[in-house]
Amino acid sequence: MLKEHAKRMPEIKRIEKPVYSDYVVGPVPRFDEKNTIFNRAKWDEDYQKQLTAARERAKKNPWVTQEGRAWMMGGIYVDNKVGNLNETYRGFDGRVHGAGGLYDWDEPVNQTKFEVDDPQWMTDRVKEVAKFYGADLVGITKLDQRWVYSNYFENSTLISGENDIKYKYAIVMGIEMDSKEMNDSPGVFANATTTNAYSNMAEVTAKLAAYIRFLGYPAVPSGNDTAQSIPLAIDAGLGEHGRNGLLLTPEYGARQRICKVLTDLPLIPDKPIDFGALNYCKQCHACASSCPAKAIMMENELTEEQTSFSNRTGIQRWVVNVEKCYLFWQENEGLSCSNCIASCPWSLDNNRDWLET
Amino acid sequence: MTDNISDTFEKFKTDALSRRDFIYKTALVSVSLSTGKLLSACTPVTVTPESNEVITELEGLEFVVPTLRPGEFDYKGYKNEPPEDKRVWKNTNPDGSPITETTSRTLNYNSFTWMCEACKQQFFSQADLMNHILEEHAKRMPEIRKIDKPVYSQFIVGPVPRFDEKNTIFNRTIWDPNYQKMVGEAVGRIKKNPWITQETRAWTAGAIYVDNKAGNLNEGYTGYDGRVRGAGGLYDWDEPVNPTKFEVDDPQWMTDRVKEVAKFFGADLVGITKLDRRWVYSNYFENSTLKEGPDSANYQYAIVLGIEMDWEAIKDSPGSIAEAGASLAYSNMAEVTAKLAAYIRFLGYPAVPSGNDTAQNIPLAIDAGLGEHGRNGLLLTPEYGARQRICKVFTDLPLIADKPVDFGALAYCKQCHACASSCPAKAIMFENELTEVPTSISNRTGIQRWVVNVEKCFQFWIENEGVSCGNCIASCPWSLDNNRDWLEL
Repeated sequence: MLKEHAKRMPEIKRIEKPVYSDYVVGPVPRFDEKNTIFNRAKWDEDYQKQLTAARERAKKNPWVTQEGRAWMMGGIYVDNKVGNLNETYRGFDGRVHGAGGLYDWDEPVNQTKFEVDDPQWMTDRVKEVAKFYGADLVGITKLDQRWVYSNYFENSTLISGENDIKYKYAIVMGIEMDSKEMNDSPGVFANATTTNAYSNMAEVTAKLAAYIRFLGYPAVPSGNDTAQSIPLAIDAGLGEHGRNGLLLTPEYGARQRICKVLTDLPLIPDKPIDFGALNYCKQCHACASSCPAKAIMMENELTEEQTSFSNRTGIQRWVVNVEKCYLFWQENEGLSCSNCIASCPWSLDNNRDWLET
Repeated sequence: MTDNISDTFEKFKTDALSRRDFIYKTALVSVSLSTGKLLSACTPVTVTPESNEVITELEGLEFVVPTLRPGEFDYKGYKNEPPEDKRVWKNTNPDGSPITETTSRTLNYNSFTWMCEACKQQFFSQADLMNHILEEHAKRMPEIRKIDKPVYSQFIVGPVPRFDEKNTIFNRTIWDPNYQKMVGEAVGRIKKNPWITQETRAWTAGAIYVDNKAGNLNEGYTGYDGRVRGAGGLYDWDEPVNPTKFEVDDPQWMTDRVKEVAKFFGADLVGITKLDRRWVYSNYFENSTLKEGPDSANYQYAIVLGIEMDWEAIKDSPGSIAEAGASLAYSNMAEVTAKLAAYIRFLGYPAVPSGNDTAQNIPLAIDAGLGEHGRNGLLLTPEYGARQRICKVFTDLPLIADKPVDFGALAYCKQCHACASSCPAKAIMFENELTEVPTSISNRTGIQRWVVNVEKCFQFWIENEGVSCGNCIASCPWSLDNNRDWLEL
């Protein structure tokens, strides 16, 4: 019982400004969704050449069987089939404009408005209901326009355009990925828990947005589309930025996926937190050592240098070479790799002895 | 414990104990002693500043408990003080304004709390956490016997004709003018329920959203049912099967694997049964399209899944948060069955997801060994009582069927009337003997069992501002989410 279901938690400080705000060293222009690595695979010819070369280098992984891949096919099924109803949509992304499905932004808002007398009560209630629908972590932040993509790019339709998102708040949710399956990375079961979390993202955000719309306020669900989830999650007090470039939370380390609901419901934002992740990451290199693509920094100081235009500018932070990262996925029979999640000491699902000794 | 050691040794010396038993007993005692040592090493020890270590004596046994002083800790290469913070402090914000507050940030792992993995609550000591786990997350379970034939098979008293889906109470509201009249009368009796507000109804609106929006894509579909022919969505029976077949050498391995993956996708209970045609509806009836026709579910097995409904929600019955608990499980039914069916189809075998459509879930679940039939007419499982919804995946994948179970529910229900007393519609039997007399055409014939007057039941839902009632679920002692003290009395 104590080994499996009890966990040491670090002291968590609520702070006024997120840790990264001390490291903003220049202007922080908004990011174009077209430049994310997954979208570059759709249009960037130079990178496409590298991807093809990487696919040729791919080696047969004896642990990847049809049965293992069936776990992934089941895991992603909900997102793939009804995340949106675009014919070419394969899951893993989110909204496609006008395509319906769970990530539907065109649902009507209830005409009868529920009067919110006490925003604090409403905030607590929203968190309660989000957990009821299946979110493992919930935080609320004012929507910082810096983290909203300047332009959207839909990789299933290849349509792009300007992003004009006027919502006041983002309710940011974390969905835990199973530890047992995650430890299989870079194998097929780590993929399965990732895909299952992607389906859960669609399910939970769609439900929470429907709850808020029934109260008479605009609310839309969002997966990986529209805005960057990690900075939003940091603002919403879910965790900090880690060496692996991912969100580290005190509860699950890097072992969650993030999704959000954008809304105008009157809420009270959470404060960001500091649980010591920055100092911890400075002297821990678990993710960097376990990265098969050598895409994670080994240096102990933050940097604002880009490795490619898929990184943002203006903030000193742990920078990940996403080009190398995604190339390794191709070499890995097209399976995603989560070594940086599985190797992070914060992600471990045991009782974290190392926090004490 | 120490008495035991000397006693045992005394017995051994006087030949009252064999050598084998002596070794066995002393080993047991030493195992428990070292477990105690292990556990006590984890608990925080209050130390006086003078001493660095606490020595605890236990008759002949001596061990040292490592001690911690406030602020004193050792982690990977540094001792006593956190590593130097080499952060570059900026004097201005990016927009040029001065930074007004700065927070000193140091490592703070010398201070930590304990978190319960199940509910994320935090505690200052391990002992508090253990108490919490025992109170909230531990549950007494009855003895469960695997039996060859389900309990109901003793009570079959006549032919058991297949049931027409058209005659379920939800479908009768659509076509049966007599029952529509009764529903109309109930509308006149609607009373204001103070627990039903726009906000609590919003819980339901969100909870059912996935089933409603994507369960199938028929325009008239509003959730709570399942497959609509040709309508796509999650309950889609027309998905292609992978032409590459995965060879199943060992059906037992495949069965275990299917159960594991079903739980991974979100099912709380899984059982497998051969599909008994008696429980498949003779004719289907789609209440969103009003189409009907003969059944066509020609599959060998049903993988029956139970989805737990949240206790905190269900105990709100007959309010709308309880309805949200049920609605959320309906959405989960669509999600989990669709994922499991996709998993099996990728292995190259036919598999289709099913909610409330196509076949009756309760007898299938009983056959699959999930539980027994209760007085409230619902499936009672040893894990959650009546507090689950049931869904299933039909498939031809080679599997090994589970045996039915008997955990004593029949005898228990004979002397417990919790559900019947709490039923606002008086739809549940008070008699202590099973009966085969139907209350309306919505009951089946040929089996002696607990019969529920579903006409009255659904009329109460109408009177309750159209919000469903789950009193018979919430009041069942087996459904309680505590540690079930009453099982020991």
